[in-house]
Amino acid sequence: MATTVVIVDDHSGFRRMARRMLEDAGFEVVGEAGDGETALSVVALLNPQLVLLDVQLPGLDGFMVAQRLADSGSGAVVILTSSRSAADFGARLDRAPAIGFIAKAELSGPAVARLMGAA
Amino acid sequence: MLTLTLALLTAAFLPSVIRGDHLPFEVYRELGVGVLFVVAGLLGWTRRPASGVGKLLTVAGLVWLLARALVWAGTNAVVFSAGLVLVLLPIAFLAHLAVGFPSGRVTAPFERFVVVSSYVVIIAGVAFLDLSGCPDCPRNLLAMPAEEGMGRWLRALALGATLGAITAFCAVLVSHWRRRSRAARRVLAPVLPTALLYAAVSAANILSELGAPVGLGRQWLWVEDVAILAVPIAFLGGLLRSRLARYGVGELVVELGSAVGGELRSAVSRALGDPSVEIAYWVRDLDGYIDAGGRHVELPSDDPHRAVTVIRRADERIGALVHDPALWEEPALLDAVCAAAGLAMENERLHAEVLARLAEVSASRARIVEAADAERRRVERNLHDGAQQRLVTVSLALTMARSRLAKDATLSGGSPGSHVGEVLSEAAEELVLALRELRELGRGIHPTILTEEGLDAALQSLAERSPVPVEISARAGAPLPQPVEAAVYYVVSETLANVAKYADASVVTVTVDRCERGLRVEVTDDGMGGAVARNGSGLEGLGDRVAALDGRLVVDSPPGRGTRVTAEIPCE
Repeated sequence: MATTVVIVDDHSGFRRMARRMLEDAGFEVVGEAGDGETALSVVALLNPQLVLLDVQLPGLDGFMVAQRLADSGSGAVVILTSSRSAADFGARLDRAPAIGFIAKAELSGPAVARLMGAA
Repeated sequence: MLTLTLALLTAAFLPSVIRGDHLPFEVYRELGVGVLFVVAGLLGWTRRPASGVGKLLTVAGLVWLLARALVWAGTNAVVFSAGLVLVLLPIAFLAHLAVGFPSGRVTAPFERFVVVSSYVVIIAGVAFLDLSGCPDCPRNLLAMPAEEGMGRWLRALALGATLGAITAFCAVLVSHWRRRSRAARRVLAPVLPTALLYAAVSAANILSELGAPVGLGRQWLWVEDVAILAVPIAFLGGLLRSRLARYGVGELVVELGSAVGGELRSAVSRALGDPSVEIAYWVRDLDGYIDAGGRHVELPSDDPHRAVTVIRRADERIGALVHDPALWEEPALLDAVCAAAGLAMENERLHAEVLARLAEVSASRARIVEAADAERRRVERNLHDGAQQRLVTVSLALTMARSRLAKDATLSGGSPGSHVGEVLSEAAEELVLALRELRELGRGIHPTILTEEGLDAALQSLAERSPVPVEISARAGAPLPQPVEAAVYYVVSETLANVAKYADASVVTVTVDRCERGLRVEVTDDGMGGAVARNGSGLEGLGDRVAALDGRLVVDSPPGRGTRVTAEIPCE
C-alpha cells in the first residue's frame, strides 16, 4: 500500500510540484496545508504516515509544528524541507523530532524513500 | 565727613575724661569698642558694598560712640535719657546683623519678628536700667518706678521678653547654620560662636537681674568685654571670608576666563565654594541643555536642594548653573560668578556642542549600520521567498521531467539517454549550481542562522564551512544586543574568508570572550601574515562596523608570523 503524505508549504507552486513528484514516485498525497495551524488540523484529520514540512512557514514555523505533532502523539513521521540548506539551521535541525531534512532543490521520490527506509 | 564725626565724638569724650567722672580704662574700652565697630564696618562696606553689613556695622559703631558721649556729657536729664536709649540700640543692630548675615537682608517672617522684637525689648529695657551704681547720674526720664508692685511686674515681664528674644535669636542662628551649605558656613563660622557667646552673657546677666544664681561674678566681667570686642571682628572676618571679598571680581574673571576644558566647572565650584555646582550649556538647535561632555541634561525644576541660575550674555541665554540654593544668600557673588563664567562658557559651550554633535553622529552611524542590517535581512528574505523558491520549483520540475522522460523511453523501448534527456540534465545541473550560488549570496547578505539560532551556532556554521580547520572558543555569556552579534559574526566571517583566500594557514583560532570594555573577539591564524586594512578592503569595512558600535578593530599581521585580528566591542 502506498505511503500517505501531507505536504505543508506556503508556496502553492512548490506544493503542486512536490505532489506530482511524490505521486510519480508512488506516494499517495492525501492533503496539503499552507501554514502551520492548518497543517496541524489537516494531519489530525487525515492521519498520514508522512508529513513533508517546510521549515519557514507563516505563523507557527516548521520546527514548532513538528514539535506539536510529536507532543500530540501523531503517528506521522516528519521530513523537514527548506530552500535554505541544513547549515542555515544548525543544531535546531538535530533537535527537531523529524526523521530527516531534504533541501528543496534535492527533493526526489528516492530521497524521501531513503529517509523513510532509514527511519 | 567720617573723620569729622570721629573728631567731634572724641572731643565730646574729652570733658568727661578730664573731669574724671569715669575711669580712663572704662572710657578707652568703650571708645575702643565703638571705633572697632566703625573700622570693621568701613572695611566691610568698601570690600562688599552690595552687602548691608558694613553699613550697619558702621552705623552701630557711630551710635555706640554717640551714646557714650551723650551719657557722659553732663548733667542734662534729656540728653542723658536719649543717650541711654542709644547706649542699648547697637545691641539690637547687632542682633539684626547676625540674623541677616551675610547679605544684610532679613526676609523670613519669623526672622523679621525676632529682629523687630529685639529692637522693642532693647528700647523698652531703657525703662528698667539699674542706675543705682551711679548716684551722680542725671535722672533717667524713661525709668519705671522699679520697686512698686506694678513696676516690678513690668520689669520682670520686660526681662522675660528679652530672654525670649535672646532664645529666639539663638534658635534662628543655629537653624541658619544647619540649613547652610559648606560655602555659606565658611562665612557664618566666625559670627555664630561670637553672637551665641554674647547672647549667653546677656542672658546670664538678665537671669541674675531676675534673681537667678547664674550671674557672672565681678571676676568674670572680662568675658563680657571680650564678647563685645569679638563681635565686630567676627562680622568683619565673616565678611572677608566670603569668596567675593577674598578674590574680588577682577581675579574671578581672570581665573574663570583662563579655565579650559573641564576646568570651568571646578573653577566655578571653587569661586562659589559649592562642590555640587554643575554647568549646563544651552544649545538652541537642540532646544535644550547639554553638559560639558555633550550629553543632554534636564535642569532640576522642583528639587528643593538644587537651584538654577540662567546665565545670559547680551540678552542671549548661553547656559545655566545648577547649584546649592544657599547661594541665593550671596546674590552679589552669584551674579559676579555668572558674569565671569559667561565669558568662559562661550568657549566651553562650543566644545560641548561639538561633543554633542559627535555623539549624534556616532549614534546616527550606529543607526545607519542597524538600518543597513535590517535592509540586508529584508533583501535576503525577499530573495529566499521569491526567486529562490521559484527556481527551486523549476529545478524540481526539471528533475521530474527528466525522470518521466526516462520512464517513457523505457516504456517505449527507446534509449533513456536521448538528446532531450541530456539537455534536461544539463539544465538541472546548472540550476543546482545557480541555486547554490544564490544561497551563498543570500548567506553573504544576511546569515539566517544568526537570527534563527544565535551567535554560537552561527560561528559554528562558519567554522564548518571554512576550508581551513577552525578551533572555536566562544564564551559570550548573556544574550548580546543584535548589532553586537552581527558585528562579531562579520568579523569572524570576513576574517575566515581572508584566511582561506590569502593566509595559507593550517589552523585558525576564534575566541569570543567578555573583557573589561565589553566583548573581545580574536581570530588568529598561523599563516603568512602581512595583511593590511586597505581603503575599501573588507578589513576596513569591518573596522567601520566595529567603530559604529564604539568599538575598535586591531589587525596585527607581521609578515611570516600569522595574523591576529582583534575586535573589542562595548556592550552592557
